[in-house]
Amino acid sequence: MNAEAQPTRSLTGVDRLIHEPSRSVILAVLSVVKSADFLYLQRETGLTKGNLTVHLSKLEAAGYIKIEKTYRGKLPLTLCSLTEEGKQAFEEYRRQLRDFADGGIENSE
Amino acid sequence: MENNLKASQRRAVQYWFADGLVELSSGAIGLLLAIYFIVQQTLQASQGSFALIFLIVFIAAFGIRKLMLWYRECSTYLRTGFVELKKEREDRGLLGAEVGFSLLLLGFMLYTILRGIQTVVWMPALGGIIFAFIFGLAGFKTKLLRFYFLGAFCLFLGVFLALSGLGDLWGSAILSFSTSLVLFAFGIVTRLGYLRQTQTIAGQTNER
Repeated sequence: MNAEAQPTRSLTGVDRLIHEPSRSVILAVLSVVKSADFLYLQRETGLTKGNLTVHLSKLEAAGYIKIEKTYRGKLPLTLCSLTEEGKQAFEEYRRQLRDFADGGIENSE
Repeated sequence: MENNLKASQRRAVQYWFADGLVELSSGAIGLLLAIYFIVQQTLQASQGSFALIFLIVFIAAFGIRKLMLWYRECSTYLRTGFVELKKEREDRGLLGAEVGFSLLLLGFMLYTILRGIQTVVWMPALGGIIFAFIFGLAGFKTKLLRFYFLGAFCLFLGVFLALSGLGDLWGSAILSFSTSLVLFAFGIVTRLGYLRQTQTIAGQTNER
């Protein structure tokens, strides 16, 4: 049988904004907590400050997370939390990943 | 990738217990409870005096918790960041379990009172069941095995002390004291592990 004739599983339909290791970790963390600060996310993702800032800005621009700048005592604190839109997008992404692993998603292109 | 995401989520949920301060402060509160039961057993004092001692213990326990939160702000949040967990009332399953357990306990106590059974004799067992439920719930939420162990330990020790005939106050004192010792042990091991794995980065700010 010709290999091209077989349906090929792919992840072409997934949200590309989330389908990046660091951003998916950020959303995974924020999906189980109320909020997390910049330092925690930095340690969890292993990113530099600059890179994490870029990823957070992208997620914020997409409306997936909310970033709040505040203070604890005299120390500045950047708190991140998941929006409802981000929650739905991440749940859909996880569903697509599971479907892919189970062989459910087929190439739509 | 899915496993990585799950591991990140698990670490975030376990973060409240990662630094060992919860165990250490809970151990201190357990020790206070044990002292309260011993004082009540050994001193011949009026009901009013015991109410006052209980109030002091309650305020001290509140103070220990506040102290733990303050120290966590100075230590943990500067080292590894801050995570605010979801409120339990947002999780209907856990809230249901808590309400169900409270109603069951209340029903049991009412039953024993109405039937003329001395509930107070079973105080160590009841204490063990309550501790076991609290630790079991913590274990279920965080998937940390040490809480399941603590829950089982409290349950068996509470029932054993109730059956041993030591009496409700001595039994409760031994239960509280033993639980606090185990909590201290877990707290010290967790704290040392946390301090070894983490370090405050000089000049580190929590700002993007």
